Amino acid sequence: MDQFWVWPAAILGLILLVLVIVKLCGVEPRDAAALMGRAMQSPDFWGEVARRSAVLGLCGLSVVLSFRAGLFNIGAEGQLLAGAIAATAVATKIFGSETPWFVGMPLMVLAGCAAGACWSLLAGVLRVWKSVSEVISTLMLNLIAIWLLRYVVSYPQLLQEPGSNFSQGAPFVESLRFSRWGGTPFHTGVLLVPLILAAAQVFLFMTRGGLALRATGLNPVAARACGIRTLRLGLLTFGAAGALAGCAGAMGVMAQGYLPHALFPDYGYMAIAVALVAFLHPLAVLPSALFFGFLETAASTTQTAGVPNEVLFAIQGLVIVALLCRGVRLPGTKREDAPA
Amino acid sequence: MSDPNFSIDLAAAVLRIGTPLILAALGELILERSGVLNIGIEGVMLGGAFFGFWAGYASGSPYLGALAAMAVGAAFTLLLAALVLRVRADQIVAGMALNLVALGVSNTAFSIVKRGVTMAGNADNFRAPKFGALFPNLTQIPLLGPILCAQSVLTWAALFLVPVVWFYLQRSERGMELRAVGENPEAAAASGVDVRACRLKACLAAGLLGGLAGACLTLEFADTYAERCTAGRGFVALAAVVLGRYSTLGTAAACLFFGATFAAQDRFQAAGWSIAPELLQMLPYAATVCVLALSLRRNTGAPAALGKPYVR
Repeated sequence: MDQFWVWPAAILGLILLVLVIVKLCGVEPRDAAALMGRAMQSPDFWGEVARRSAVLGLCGLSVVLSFRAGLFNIGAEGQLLAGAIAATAVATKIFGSETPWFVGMPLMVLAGCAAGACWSLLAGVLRVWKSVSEVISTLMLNLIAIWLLRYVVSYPQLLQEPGSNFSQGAPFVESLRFSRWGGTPFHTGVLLVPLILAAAQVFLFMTRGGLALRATGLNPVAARACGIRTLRLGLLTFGAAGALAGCAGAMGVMAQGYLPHALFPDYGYMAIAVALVAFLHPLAVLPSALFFGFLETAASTTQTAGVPNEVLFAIQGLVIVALLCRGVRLPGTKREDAPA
Repeated sequence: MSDPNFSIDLAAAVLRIGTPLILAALGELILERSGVLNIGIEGVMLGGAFFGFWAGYASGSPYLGALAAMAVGAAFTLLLAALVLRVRADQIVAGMALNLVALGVSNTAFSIVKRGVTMAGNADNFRAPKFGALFPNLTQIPLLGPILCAQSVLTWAALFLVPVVWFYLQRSERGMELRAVGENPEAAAASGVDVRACRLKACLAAGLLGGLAGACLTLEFADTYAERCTAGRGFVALAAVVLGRYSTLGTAAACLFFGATFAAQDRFQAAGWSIAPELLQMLPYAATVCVLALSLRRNTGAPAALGKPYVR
């Protein structure tokens, strides 16, 4: 950050890279740009950006908390799906058509948070008591959750819509859906995300718990010597990170109105990029999530012109690579550190 | 179930499905013993799967396909090496970045290449040849003959590499240096070993093997590339190294075990068991988590410097 020219240079490089790929895909860059220009004038586009950014923001915050505590919980994807499944189960199996929103919606979110936390704590418990690396267990739990979702939406005795030929959940009653603003994908739940991020910022930097969490991430041995119960803190962090991702899943289905066959694929991995671009600061997750949410929406827009939207993964990977090269470090792995 | 043909068939399937796992895990083992963790192995395999397929398809030769896959795998791990060894980035984050880059590059390249061409269909010409086809006499050996000769040359390469890697790691001087680098890089450097060069070579080896493992999936299992065709196999290979307690033979055995869980998937489905296919799909991953949970003790056998950046 000592040299300010790198940021404009990086953005310029990104634009050039995208143009080259667009050209390689046999699409005239001018056409793609025109398509983007038209799309960006519609409120639907920006509503979609907000909807995707909300999910990325919550998952990004989940990653921020884990990384700050020195935990490589990369299972936001699975925790998100667990939350979505639980919220759907509550909405379609417990509540009938007469449920008022102020009863149903909080319970759905709670169920989503609880399911996400449980899914994450599976990895947490294995890490604490069996020293199974959370990297491997969360990656496996992601894959398991993807198939769990496909499982529950494929059988009517589970969550599939009865009498439907499609693998998807039954639609929620109207009162359990987030209302869309002016017909755009923007929904009420989006407004909660900045509040949660601000709360997390206060927690992480202005409370004892936040200090303990950061201290543990920086140096677990020293933290333990200071009387911090690092194991308990680790488990709590796993739970909180899972709850955030699960909340994102619950809000995702409440905006969608039903449980689809696949939900926010790979957002859990994108969340790592979101967290790193935010330099692991909760409030900075907001612009970072908006940036990636915009890229996501732009990619699915230009896909209609024939540009494969998988390009986005390469861009995200390169963004992380660039950040790592710029010396972005996780807590506890500073450049000057001698290996312990 | 007691039908001998069924057992032979199953053993052959376990070997075949275990092949990419063994190849990838051996590469990962060498790399981890040198102190570098490569979470990006899934991406390396995916890159190998696509570019191996593409080169094989374009040239019509499975050998060129395998070579291309290995080259791409090595290129991807060189990116990891640059991040981990030069800028001393966190290994797990660098590995995830590698996964994203590889996923993006492979799938984008696939979308571009497949445009206007149907790439599926009869692709026998670039399939990895079966060993039995090269040496028909060996098929006559009872029991082992049908199991081993039904395998492609890739399986034979994997089985051949197991003792080679064991010898290299446990008995050769270079292997000892590499293990020393993974356990205590400062001491190794003090005794005159170039830590970064050693880890760089380990990265290259892991890339070559990981790329070849990916090529198995497209050159042998399927006739075409599918997005995400690695389906977490790289991560399973990662787990196999942990389960094998960082020993060569243990890792290979763990790979065969996980290969068996993948093979069991198809068998259960074929046997008409009334288990939902979606649940069977979870089997290898659930087995990985459960077996790791049951097997691990405090002393995991991991190299002491695994995952730690080295500062001269």
